[in-house]
Amino acid sequence: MIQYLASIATQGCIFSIVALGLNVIWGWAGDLDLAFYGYLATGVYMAMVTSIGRLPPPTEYILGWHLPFPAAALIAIGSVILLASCVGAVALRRLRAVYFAITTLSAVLMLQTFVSDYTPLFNGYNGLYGMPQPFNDTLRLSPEVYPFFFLAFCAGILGGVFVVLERLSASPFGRALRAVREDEQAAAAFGRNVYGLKFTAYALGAALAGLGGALLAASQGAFNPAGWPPDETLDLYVAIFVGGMGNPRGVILGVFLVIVLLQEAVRFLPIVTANPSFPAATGEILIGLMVLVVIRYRINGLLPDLHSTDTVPPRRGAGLRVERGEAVG
Amino acid sequence: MQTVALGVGFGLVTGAILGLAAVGFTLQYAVSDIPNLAYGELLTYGAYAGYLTTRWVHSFSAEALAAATAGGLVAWAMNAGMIEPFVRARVRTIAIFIGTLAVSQILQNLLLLVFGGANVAYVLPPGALHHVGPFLWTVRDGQVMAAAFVVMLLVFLMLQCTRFGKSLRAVSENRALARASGVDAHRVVQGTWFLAGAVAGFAGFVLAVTAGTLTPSFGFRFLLVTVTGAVAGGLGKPHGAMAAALILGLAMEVGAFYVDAAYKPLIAFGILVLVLLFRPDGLFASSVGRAVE
Amino acid sequence: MAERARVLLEVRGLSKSFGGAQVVRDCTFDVAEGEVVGLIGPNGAGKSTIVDLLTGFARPDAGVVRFAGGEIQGWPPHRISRRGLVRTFQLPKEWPDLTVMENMLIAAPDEGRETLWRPFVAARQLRRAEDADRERARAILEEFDLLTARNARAGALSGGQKRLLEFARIAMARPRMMVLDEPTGGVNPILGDRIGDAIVGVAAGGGTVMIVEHDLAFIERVCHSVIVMASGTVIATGPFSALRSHRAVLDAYIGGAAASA
Repeated sequence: MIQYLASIATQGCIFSIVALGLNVIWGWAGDLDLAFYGYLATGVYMAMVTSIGRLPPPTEYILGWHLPFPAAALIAIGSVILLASCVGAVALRRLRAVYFAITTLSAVLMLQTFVSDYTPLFNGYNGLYGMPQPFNDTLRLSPEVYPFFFLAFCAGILGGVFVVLERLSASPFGRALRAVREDEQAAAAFGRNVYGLKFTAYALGAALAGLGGALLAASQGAFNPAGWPPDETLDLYVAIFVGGMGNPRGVILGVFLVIVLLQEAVRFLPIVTANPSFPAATGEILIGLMVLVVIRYRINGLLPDLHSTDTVPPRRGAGLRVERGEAVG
Repeated sequence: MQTVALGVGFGLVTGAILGLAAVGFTLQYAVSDIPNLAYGELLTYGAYAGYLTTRWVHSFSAEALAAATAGGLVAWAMNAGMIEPFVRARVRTIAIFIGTLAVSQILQNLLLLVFGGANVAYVLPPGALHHVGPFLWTVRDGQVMAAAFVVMLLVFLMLQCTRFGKSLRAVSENRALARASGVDAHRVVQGTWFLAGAVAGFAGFVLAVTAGTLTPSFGFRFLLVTVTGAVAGGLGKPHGAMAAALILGLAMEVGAFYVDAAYKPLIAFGILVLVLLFRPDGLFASSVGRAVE
Repeated sequence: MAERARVLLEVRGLSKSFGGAQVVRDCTFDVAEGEVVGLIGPNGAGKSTIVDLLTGFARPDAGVVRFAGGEIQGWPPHRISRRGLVRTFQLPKEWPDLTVMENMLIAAPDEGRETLWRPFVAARQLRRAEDADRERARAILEEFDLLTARNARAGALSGGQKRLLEFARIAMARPRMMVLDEPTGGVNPILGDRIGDAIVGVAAGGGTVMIVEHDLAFIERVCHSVIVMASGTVIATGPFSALRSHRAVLDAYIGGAAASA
């Protein structure tokens, strides 16, 4: 039982990192990126092909190195940033809203088809397996203990990501990005390079997806192109919608509620048919319904977006009211 | 030259099917102003309906009719159940767009629940290969192309000559103005969705029997090329969509002779990106000028 | 002014057509530093297009725009803005989900603070710069009676308040030259006076202002000189008083199509 809890907590941490990345693109910059899961997948694949060494034929794939996890993860993140930069350079320049979404969706569908059909890349439909457990070459933890170490590791990374993003959200960069989201023309009129800011946000969000991908590779050990976008991307969006757009805390809350709780809850549904897809399919239907409800009733999420509240430092003979609130630096 | 001719031959078949799919998508966009990401599911449901019909009768027309009806009904339900109520509730366009993605997921997973994820074999005997000029086609290819071109012609005639078609064009240009001129916009929209869905259902049936197998996600996978065709034709322009889809089909099939078949979707995506960047109003736009943001 | 001030903005032969219609034709004028100049003319004269062309929101078909010594025609809006030429919009374009104070802080020139790593390097310096900006923002907001609203969502302000915020923001940006697109559109006369005073204050402080306006009384009060446009081209320039009886100007306003202000 406790192993099971550790495992879903780990999933929660990993998907929180990923969702926080999507939040940078959608919550902060306002771009509806439907390619996002593709970055996660690329992160998984690149982490794997730099860690699993050479598997016996007929598996075929590029690279096939056997690097320690931190190096593999860095390569994964770098590859994702490169990929996202290519997509972003094309899609962010002139496309907005629906056209941007369609382009990114097409990009990821094309990527998925390509990865599935072009076997020499990542072994096509069958995917890859055999991801070694990070750090366990040196630590040599037993199979009972390792999951807890890995959970702590993921939680630690999540913590670091969270702190960095909170700082960024309140920083001039975060503020400028929100301005761009709200009104690009006004932002440009005040000297903001709209494309540059969006591009930076896009690369940053994708990098986090890559990081999550590397962790997911380690957590699952295997991966294939089935069940890619857009199911998974939609799951991430729901997590953000439900938890609270823009707000990192809200996103994490949303992930644990939607992705973890819901997915696990449907596992315990009575098996009505002999259909093995029953729990997953039911979960997806519920998520779809959730999206419809959220957009219909314009639910802004459980936690509101972060705002700085301006407090006036006390002055002698001021006559100005001092307001309670948090001063954000 | 031989290979190019073969490619063109295949391209015409692919293009025909694509044209059907693209025109349906475009019609829905034309009257509702929202790209429908659940459009692929109309193809899927049409195909499954055709497949189910084979339990009772084996006939191209019966299966096609079942497919078209199923597609039409599901499309009508999509519009009446989600799109129109959400528009009335003043939900933002981009939010409704995400909603169509959610509907797509729901519909796919419903099929998954009922039929399971395994590939379902759905075969229409291809019949003998024939040389028609420089092209190489099976009897089935011929049937498919004939049916597809007939349907597209009917759509074209409907748009140009019937009152409904004129109302449709009026609503797609300016709904308020159309209403003011006495057009029942609501009826037109519902009718268009049904019609587009019927075309999509038929396209799904045709696609399934050509490919030979069926899964719940099969229509969605066709969405990339459908959308590319629709966008390249100019979102909202049915004639453009048909023409663009044909070109797209040709490009993909001819291209597949020179590069690995796995690259076909890349060709489609490449075309989509080029069109969006340089001619965002579609390949057949009247003027290329647009105000700089 | 006893001595001729330096020319800050030079426009030569600016032209633009949209879809076949020539909206701006061969426009030429100068704006001197420290001047408050009005851009007036009947509807459809091309004034808004000139603003778009000057500030990078539209690309000219032909012509040269020289600002602060360098050519800027064809530049993207954010580059022109950084050069010191900032505009407002006809309909207030506040950032609705951000607070009034946040709106002001973004308006301040960013000076390289908006990179990813800046919040993590020399954080205290960043904070001090931010605090200085906040001080300045509060002072400006106070002038426009927006101080108490500073933590409210900008989208929740009234129409008049949004107009004032539009002006407060551009004041915060301290540009070398402001281009104001109908700053008093639809506001009551008291508010209009407020804005007029603020503009006069800007000029007194050495700033340069170009105002597109229909309210000729406002123009007369606030501007040193005017540029008159009709049918896409400049038909007269000079002090407002001199142009009142200028034949071409009168023709444009009275003889022309729709009546303005």
